[in-house]
Amino acid sequence: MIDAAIQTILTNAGYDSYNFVSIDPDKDLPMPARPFLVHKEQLDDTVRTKDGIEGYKYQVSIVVVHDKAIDLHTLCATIATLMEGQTGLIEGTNFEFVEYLGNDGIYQDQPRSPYYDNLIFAVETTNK
Amino acid sequence: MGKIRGYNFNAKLGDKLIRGVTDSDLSIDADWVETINKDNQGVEDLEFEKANSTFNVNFEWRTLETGEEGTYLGSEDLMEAAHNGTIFAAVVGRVATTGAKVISGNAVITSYKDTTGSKEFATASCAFRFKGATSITTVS
Repeated sequence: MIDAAIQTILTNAGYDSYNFVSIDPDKDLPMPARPFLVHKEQLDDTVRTKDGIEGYKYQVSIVVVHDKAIDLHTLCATIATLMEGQTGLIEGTNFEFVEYLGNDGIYQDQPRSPYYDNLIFAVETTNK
Repeated sequence: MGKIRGYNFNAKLGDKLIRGVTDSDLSIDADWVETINKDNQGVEDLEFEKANSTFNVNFEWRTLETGEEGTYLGSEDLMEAAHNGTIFAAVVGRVATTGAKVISGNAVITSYKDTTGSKEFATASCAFRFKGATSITTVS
């Protein structure tokens, strides 16, 4: 599954990362030490030819959380490069390409809270 | 019942399909000639001459993987055929459905076009025209 693959990519690169769907909103968990990442995957479309379904197009969001805005900016650039380099089989999902589409821009919920940015990627795989 | 999904329609060149086809179409333009002769006492009539048939195929630009050569034509095969004026034995319609009526004959590529932007996977399209007589046959 693509969420497991994204988790593996980020974890193997040394980042404290969390799958969005694994976060229980009913539990008031403490915020992890910064920096950390939260990723979410959405199936946008299937690649269909007359031979059948030959691929899947996902939109992957990775929220990057950091205490310092300048370091967040640098980390986002690193994550974008890391993701765009992914091809081949990862956790059973075969990546054909990853394209960094852009970000939402750095923001902060309230003064002295961590800084966030949301990176958006288009990912095409040949299986689920 | 009776409705057919578009993926059932395809073109076969020789005994091969085109790899990565996303959509295709078939046009049959019937030539009718106006006739006015003394037999029908000056009343205009139409006489059937022939049908001119063309078809277009859009596909993802693909190379063939090992084992696909016997079943498919890759994109470079079509580019080469367009350049060299290759004549194919062509069948168009529901080519994989036993009992379906399809149009058969010899066809040539009248245009090949690939689209190769930096962001997306490459795609291509071919326009075909039947050359000479065609017939309606049944897929067996």
